[in-house]
Amino acid sequence: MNKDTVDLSVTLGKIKLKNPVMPASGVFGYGNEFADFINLEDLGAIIVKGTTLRPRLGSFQGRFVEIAGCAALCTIGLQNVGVTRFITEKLPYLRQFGTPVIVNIAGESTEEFAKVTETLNKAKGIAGIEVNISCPNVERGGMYFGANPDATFEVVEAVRNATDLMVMPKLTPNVTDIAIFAKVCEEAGADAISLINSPLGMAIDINTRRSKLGENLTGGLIGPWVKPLAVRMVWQVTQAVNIPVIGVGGITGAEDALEFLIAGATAIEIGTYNLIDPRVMIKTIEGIKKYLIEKGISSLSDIIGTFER
Amino acid sequence: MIQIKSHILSNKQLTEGCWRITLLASQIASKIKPGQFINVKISESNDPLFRRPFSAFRCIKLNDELGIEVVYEVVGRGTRLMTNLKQGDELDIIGPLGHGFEWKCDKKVHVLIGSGVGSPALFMLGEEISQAVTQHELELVILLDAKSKKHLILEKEFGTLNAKVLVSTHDGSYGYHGRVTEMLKDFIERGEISSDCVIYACGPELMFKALVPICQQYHIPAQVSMERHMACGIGVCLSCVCKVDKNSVLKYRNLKSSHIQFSQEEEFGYALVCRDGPVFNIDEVILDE
Repeated sequence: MNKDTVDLSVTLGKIKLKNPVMPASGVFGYGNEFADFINLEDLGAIIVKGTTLRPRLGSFQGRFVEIAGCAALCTIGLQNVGVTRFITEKLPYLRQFGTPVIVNIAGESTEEFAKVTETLNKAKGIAGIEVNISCPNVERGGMYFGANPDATFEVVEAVRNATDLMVMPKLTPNVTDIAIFAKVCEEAGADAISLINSPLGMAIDINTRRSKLGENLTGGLIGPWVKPLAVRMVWQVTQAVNIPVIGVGGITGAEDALEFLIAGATAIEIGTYNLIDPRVMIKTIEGIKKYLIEKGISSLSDIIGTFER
Repeated sequence: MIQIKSHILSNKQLTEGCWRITLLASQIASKIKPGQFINVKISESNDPLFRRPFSAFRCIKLNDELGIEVVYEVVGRGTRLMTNLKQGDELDIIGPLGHGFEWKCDKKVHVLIGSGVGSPALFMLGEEISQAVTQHELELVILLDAKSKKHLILEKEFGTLNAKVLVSTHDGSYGYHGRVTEMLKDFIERGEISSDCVIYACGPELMFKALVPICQQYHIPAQVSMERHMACGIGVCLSCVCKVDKNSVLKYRNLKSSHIQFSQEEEFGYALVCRDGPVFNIDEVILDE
């Protein structure tokens, strides 16, 4: 089989991606730092840093600590330049690539989510909105929306009503039954769902008896260890909804990505591992292609959701 | 920023807790400036998971190629694993990273202050200034600080520079008995180091805190190399922030090219140690937290 005959494209609502690999929000900044390492044209889509109506300073210092066993605790608290500076300073750079840009948005109220969406909706060069109702590291908003079905519905509906762009809520694993939240998102008009954001964790320095994240106390648990939790949740959610699901959590390469795709994910986001190997997404795309060729499969869509009990 | 596979040329123990690793890394060594760092994936396995940032100690010529030397202290799992690396092993490294030291000939007296494993980060700066000493009639003073004589590193290497090298040990086993900042103050008071100088320092934050009143009293400008846990080292994850004073930052920096984000209500902001630093002017950083 000719290498070029493998079709890696997938569709998320109105957006067609040339392959299923995207950076998770927050590990990719606004793309320019990665241009030294990869060609941004090669990605399925670019998902930018969580963006809020006004600039946010985020968590206190002491935001990151590695945890033995392929993990880290991290709390950035949605530090970002705000939607206005994003549009004027960051978006023009991203427009030059033919790669769809998805903006991750966050807010402390339903109104804020709606306002950010309205603002982004007027800007040119944005393909979709990832609705962050799952950040574990903010006092107001974040996962406190995503852990309440009514609040989830309200926010997703408000974003939906404010734009025709692809709308993709990102779910938190810090709930009892994630499928309920996925169904709520579908009912509220979401085009796709991404999961999971990071589970909330804590680590204590036994000498100082303080948190290893200082005043921040808790943080999202990130890294390869997240994968089995995320694969299980992606599998559960794909059983429950009819819209595309994007798998996120602990992906370090093609083998991990394929697990999510077989579980039912239409596309995947790579988070933490971009911070370790800035070329990981390209290696993952190549690895998926190689796998399909080896298995004699001509289209990625033929592998999605092929999990057998 | 370049990502390369680098061959290890040697990895030798210097003192009880300190090692020196030499990496073949022409592409990075040809670009790296004093105070900049490289980010090293110590193991191909995912535990330890993240890269570890190390300041370059110096660059060396090897026939047609260039090497980077790093002096590291064994402080945790990552650096402990690093001591097992052998000649010929390959390491994935990214560099050069960060904003390093800046120096000019307009000040005549340049004082480098390195405590513990902070001193290697000053060596390339020392080399640059050393080369200009004769032509520009400069004076280069290097203060090295260690817990005790057996912990002292790189005295011989700094001794090859066109500089006066002074050593302080906390237990008095060698050189000045006391902290390096106490030695600095004594020497300034005695007129042995001119207070009309500029300071470049790398060491623990407590040392920088002790340096602040001296710099204020004698109006000495100082640059300090900060340390934080880093996840990416390339300015995207926003993990390694350090608190900075807004008014001081505005004195020194073009905000357009900085990654600093300021509070809307108060006179401080968060700078990225990996991009805006690791080297900051001492009055930029807010050290009391």
